[in-house]
Amino acid sequence: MKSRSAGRSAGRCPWRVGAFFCLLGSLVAGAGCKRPAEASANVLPAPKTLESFKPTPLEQNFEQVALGRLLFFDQRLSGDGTMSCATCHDPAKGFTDGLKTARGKGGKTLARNSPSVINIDARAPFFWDGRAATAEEQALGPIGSPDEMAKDVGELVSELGDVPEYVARFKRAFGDPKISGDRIGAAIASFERTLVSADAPIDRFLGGDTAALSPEAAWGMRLFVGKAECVKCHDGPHTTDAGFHNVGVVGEDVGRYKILPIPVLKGAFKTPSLRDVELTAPYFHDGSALTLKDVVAHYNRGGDTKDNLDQDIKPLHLTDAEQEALVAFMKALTGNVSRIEVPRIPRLVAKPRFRSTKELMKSTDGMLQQLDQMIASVEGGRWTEVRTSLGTLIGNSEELAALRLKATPAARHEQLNELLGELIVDFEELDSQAARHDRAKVAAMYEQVRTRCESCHDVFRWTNKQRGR
Amino acid sequence: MKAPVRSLLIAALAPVAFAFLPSCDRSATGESARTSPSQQAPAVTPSPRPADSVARGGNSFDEALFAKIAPSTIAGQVLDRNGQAQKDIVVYVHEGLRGAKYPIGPPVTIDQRDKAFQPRILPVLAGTKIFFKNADMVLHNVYSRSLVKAFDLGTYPQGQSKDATFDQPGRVDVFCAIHTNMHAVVLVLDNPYFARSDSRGYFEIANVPAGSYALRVWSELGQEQEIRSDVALDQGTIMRVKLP
Repeated sequence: MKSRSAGRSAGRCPWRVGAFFCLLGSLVAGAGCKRPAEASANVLPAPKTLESFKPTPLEQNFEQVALGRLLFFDQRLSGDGTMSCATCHDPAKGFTDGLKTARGKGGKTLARNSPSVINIDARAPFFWDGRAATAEEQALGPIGSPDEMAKDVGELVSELGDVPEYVARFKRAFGDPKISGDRIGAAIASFERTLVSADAPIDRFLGGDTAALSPEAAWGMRLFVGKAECVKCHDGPHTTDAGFHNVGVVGEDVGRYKILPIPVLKGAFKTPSLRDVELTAPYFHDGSALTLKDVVAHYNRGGDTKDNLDQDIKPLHLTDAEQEALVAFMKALTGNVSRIEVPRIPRLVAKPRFRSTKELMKSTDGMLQQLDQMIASVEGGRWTEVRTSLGTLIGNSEELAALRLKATPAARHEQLNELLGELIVDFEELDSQAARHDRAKVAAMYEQVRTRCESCHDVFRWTNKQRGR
Repeated sequence: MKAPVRSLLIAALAPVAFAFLPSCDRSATGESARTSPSQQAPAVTPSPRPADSVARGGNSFDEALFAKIAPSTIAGQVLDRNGQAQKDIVVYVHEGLRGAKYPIGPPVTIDQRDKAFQPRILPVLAGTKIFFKNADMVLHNVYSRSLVKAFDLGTYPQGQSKDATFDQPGRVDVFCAIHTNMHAVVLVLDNPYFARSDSRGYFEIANVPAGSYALRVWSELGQEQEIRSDVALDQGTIMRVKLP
């Protein structure tokens, strides 16, 4: 997987990011660069040209982020269990799929190109036609769509409720273990908000580092805000006006007009952010431009159809070298995205390995032993062994969770479900600390985890005793 | 003997200022529509509670603003619960006027500048014509789907203006179909006794005939609040408004 390391800071809604710079105003003929005059709750206060993007630290519930990360990669979110959010928003492909248009249920070719999910709130309103107002709403759209992931959300809620780890994680993320469509959307959106692309060469350049752009890219920037007029729509820190334009791409798709039947919107699609655009080929709502060069060529000839074409789209008379310079500039919009590792997806074991209560008891004792062995490995600094032990513990806990469905009386059902779920989340947390070789944090968690393990053990022992009578 | 300036303290207005009302008609475009009729519960609390809420907020009313209030004028300041001055709050006379017919003033203009409507909030007397002027180098559209006034002025370039006349009282949410973040609210009122608070939270309604009135405090996201006030010819009236 191609991923680049970066800080974990991120931007919330762009209109809440206070520290916008506005350094290039003078480069744009006729567009003065003024301070935002009006900052209100839901309107972008925007005199904008090109601005650097300064992400503000997220005030976020990290339990929601962790849950959202699992959901993002979990194929349970599709009806046939073959697709997750990451299928079309693949971290290795700039959070898109590299296809002209997306593939949905059963490989069906869909009408539009998969957009990236980085800097998510700057992409509102969502979808090419803007039909979802929030990232939370967007996240649920493809899940329920019969052509896309085709999963009934009610069914999904009930399936997740059977997985102890999910129950524990929803409880940690939201304060109680209720699972709902809204919470699924909220968790996924929280995770997506951590996917921030910033600190691109353009940001460093606008911050005063004139060497951050190559001479060609700097020329491209001047064209971008000048002769090529790109900035008319691709403005602001995220190079988008959150607007809808018909840019002369040939096709039957009416785009925004279906959502809002106003003539100017016939064939209009959302102005995409150009952050990380280098990574998200092919381009346009239908993926009809394979490269950035193709995109520039499209605009240079003033689009391919005059049918309801935006009046600002007209032939640009750019030379070849100018077009190349624009491409070089767009590549300077590639930033650093937080490193994303594909998480281990919570398992629901259908057929547990344990066949008898005796085996079960052996296994629960084994868990305590394994835990002791793990802490010994921590002391010895044998981190690979630590992580192997934790992997075994997680696997065993999932087996036990499956077994208790049969082996425990209903009265203990709830208690075990909760304990095992919490335990798995604890093991996961220990594992992520172990991955960082953080001895102190592992040691600090150990007592709590051991107590939980013993509680599980007690419940099983009690069950065993009841059965023995 | 009366004090030269009458003072009204208004504390906690209504409980649900920023909740969307059940009757709010939010269409697929994200357009927030008319507000529902406000509750009639009088929100005036003559004196006791404001001191408390002001103390909690830290900031208090800027009394210097009220140093020179002209006769027959209702002036005041709007703060939020934290004591921050609130701009774009509309205060208007709702009841108590004697059914006069008011002359309609000259047209007013809302600019589309820097991809925003300026002003964003505009109270007008019913019958007023508003010009929407595109002051940007990009195309803009102007439309509304509000129940009170639905229209689409189409799409036009820099320098051009198109107008619409707002005959019916009520809230009209105006958008640009191209740029989704552009949103203005025209609040059409049935009398000319209204004012919009400035960045200091200050507002002033001049030349109000002497009488006893119910005023309303309107904010874009909130529920309207009702306040009672008397206006005498020989003095101004001060309203200190704290939003919930």
